Amino acid sequence: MACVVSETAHAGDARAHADYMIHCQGCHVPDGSGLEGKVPDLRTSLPMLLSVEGGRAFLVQVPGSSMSALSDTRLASTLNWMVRNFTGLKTDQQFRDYTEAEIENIRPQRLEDVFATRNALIGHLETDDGRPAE
Amino acid sequence: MTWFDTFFEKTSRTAARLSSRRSVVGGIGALAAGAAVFPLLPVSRVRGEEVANDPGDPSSCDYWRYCAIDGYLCSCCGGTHTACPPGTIMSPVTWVGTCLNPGDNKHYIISYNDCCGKSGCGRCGCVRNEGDKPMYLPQAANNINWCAGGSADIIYNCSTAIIVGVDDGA
Repeated sequence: MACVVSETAHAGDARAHADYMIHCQGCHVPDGSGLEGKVPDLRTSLPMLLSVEGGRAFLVQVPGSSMSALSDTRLASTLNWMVRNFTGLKTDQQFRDYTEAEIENIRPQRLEDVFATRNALIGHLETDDGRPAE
Repeated sequence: MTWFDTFFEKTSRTAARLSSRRSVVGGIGALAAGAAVFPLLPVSRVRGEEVANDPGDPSSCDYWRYCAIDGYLCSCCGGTHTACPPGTIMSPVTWVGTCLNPGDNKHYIISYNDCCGKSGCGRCGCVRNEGDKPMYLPQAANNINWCAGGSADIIYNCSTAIIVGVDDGA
């Protein structure tokens, strides 16, 4: 049984990784490090956003997520894959996986101003170039 | 064991006669410096994968990897389908699509990294656009000049087609 579970999880990972490559990697680059001053570094911005109230929803509502061609289920898997692979949040205590129902609920709520929202959420935690403040 | 001893005695004596101690130290120093500098050479760090069965001509627009391309083929411009021509820089941000390889009937994830920094190559223009979306879905539109994100800025020269993964549809 354990074997079956791990195989299923692995297949899901492969799908999520392929979806990351097709829908996200073009800008966020293969290791999630982005492009300084232009594309946020997922390795630092994901944990920062997940540490503040509203950040979890923001990650679903940013145009790259909400407007992607991915279904709610696959968007949930892709976001979970990104958090598990680009950040130190490995356990369920540190990060609770997104579910399809959660995505369906928060995805349609449009952000009026993406940059202003981001700044209100984590502006105080990072430097001008997007790095975590010391 | 005599021949063994003689052989090494001879080679050691010849080496000692032909080289000074300083030259050996210098040689080791040059090797160490060279080894340290080699990884800094300006080559693209994009990780490309190759496939065993890769039919077709990479300098022809019909080549399977170009199914979603919109641009000049680098393989006609002094580069290859995976490397930029001399004097250009590969943009780190890119348009990604999937193409079916007729050689093994698998869908591969292709990264169309643009080469930037010299004016448009003008040879082998190739527009196929499979899976291309309108500009209001910018992350899936190939009409964007992806050079805008790179250090060479927006001067577009040509496009590559690098395999970054397999999309098995699971």
